[in-house]
Amino acid sequence: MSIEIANLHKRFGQHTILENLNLKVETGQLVALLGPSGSGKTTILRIIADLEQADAGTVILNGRDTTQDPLDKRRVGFVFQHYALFRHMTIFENVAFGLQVRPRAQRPSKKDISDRVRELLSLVQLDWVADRYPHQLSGGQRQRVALARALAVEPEVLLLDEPFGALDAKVRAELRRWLRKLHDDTGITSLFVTHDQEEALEVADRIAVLHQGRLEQEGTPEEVYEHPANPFVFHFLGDVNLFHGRVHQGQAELAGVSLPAPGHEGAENAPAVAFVRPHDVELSREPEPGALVAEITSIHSFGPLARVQLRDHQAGRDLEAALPLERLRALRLTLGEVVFVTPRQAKVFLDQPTEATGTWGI
Amino acid sequence: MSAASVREPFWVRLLLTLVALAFLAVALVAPLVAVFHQALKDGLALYFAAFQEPEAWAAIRLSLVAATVAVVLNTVFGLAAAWLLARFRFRGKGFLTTLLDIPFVVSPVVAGLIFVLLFGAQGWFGPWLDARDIRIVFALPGIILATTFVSLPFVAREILPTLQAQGTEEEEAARMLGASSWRTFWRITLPNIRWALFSGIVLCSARALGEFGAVSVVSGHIRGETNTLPLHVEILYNEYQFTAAFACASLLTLTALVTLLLKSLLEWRIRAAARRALEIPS
Repeated sequence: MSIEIANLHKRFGQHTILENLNLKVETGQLVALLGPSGSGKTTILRIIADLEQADAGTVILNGRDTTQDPLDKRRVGFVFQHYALFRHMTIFENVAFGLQVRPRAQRPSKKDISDRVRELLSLVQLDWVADRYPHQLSGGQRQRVALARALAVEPEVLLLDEPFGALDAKVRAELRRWLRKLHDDTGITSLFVTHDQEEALEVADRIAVLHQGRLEQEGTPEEVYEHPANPFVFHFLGDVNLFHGRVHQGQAELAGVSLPAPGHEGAENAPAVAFVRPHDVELSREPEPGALVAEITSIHSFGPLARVQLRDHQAGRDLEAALPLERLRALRLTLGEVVFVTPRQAKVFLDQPTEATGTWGI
Repeated sequence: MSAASVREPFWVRLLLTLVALAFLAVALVAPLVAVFHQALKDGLALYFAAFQEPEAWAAIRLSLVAATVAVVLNTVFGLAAAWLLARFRFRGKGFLTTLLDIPFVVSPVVAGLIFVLLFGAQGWFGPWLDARDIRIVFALPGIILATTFVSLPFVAREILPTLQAQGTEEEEAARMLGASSWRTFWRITLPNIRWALFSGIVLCSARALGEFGAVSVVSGHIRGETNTLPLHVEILYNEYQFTAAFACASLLTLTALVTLLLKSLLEWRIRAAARRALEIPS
């Protein structure tokens, strides 16, 4: 079932939560709504679920306008950040609830309900906790039960509100891979909210980036990561080095660095900002044309990528470089050493006075 | 235990403890003992004889009827009011919350007088009721009204914090799974607040059974008809029937003690449930 949101508006008092929001989720896709807190992503989810009402706009499920439909007709499964398991019921009763409350004519027999619950619990690999209560389970287990409970009513759309937000890093990483696999197995159209770009990039088929109630960009993880539509998206999807400067006929001049700025060939000495990902920053002992000179202020060498913080004293700015551990070892960099820094590539945006650069600037 | 340096000297602790104990003994324990001593000092036969009186029986029955109706009404009202206050934002919410406490602060005598003023023969609705031969003051309806008024806040006050702490997520989850709002209330909301609700009902019952002032004003003291148990105690006492008076008083005291016991048991359950809910997932 596809989800289509058209011209959604939502205000709360003086505060605009959603502004003219349009989004389409194709059948069978797993889409991430990514944005900082307060960007309106949870509100979108709650409006689709009919837990909240939009001031204007429509929600179209499977080509049908459901804005006026009652809650139980929408066939939407919802997974809450804090699980929202029924605390006074066993795990079995929790998962069975959605089937038990069906009108008598549609309610499966006791045995069918029991079979279905067992089946779902083994799908989430928790068939051994059926008789326990939610408070006896760990956070990760609770969220898997919540997922099984949502799937019990065979929803056509699954909505997940920061499903792993309350879990620790390791469980989080495990669960999101597991969610991806579950989605591949069931093929149910899913929309999940997250503020964690890594989570969105790793799990989702497509990502919708939200900022202050507006959709900034929508696309595959590669598209939004490699070709961010604007400075906000670039900045939000990973660490960046920020350079201020000017663009002139396709070439960016950024306080000592000159880089090609594709797409800005027509620019005439226009003020611009350039973003350089840390892994696009090259470090070297040999002086190179157009290189910056900076002092190493710290080195973090855990994981496959080492992170080096540098201080460009001349321009008075901090830089960050990420390089493979072997390269760091080969260079034998030390703290306090002065090296040459070359940005390999940059994403250049013309300064738009409407953009409130202060809100996302480094 | 706190560190030795921040602990008060031994004599200060001893003094404070003794003051507290002495106060409790004089204000609470002594009266309790006195009630049972007076009631039982002429032997068990006379003690039980006090309850065989038809007037005593009538008073017990009336007290039970009035308290039962009041508790049922206040339970329904309390659930509705607490639900409204916990789940919705609206103008005048703070005012409504304050209004709920009026029976706590208004003297019961004043409460009784209000009903006389409204429904008495000279009252606002008096002539209208009189023309239709409906009796409220000096009859059962008045006693029920007065009892309901004084015991009104207990159920709402007890469940409101639990309902607020509970949040709405479980209810939303139930709705998303296709449960009607009626069903969600019975299967999700009510089980979650059940201990607080019981606790409110227990307190409400105790207050309703023991009410004297407001009922005294509206009852009219018709023996065997509009005398509740507390009013009956007063009459017996004024007639120097001390054993009977204290026998009936001991009955009221016993209900109070049972209330106390139930209340502490329920509080223990509420705390245990809250602890479980707060348990941090690993």
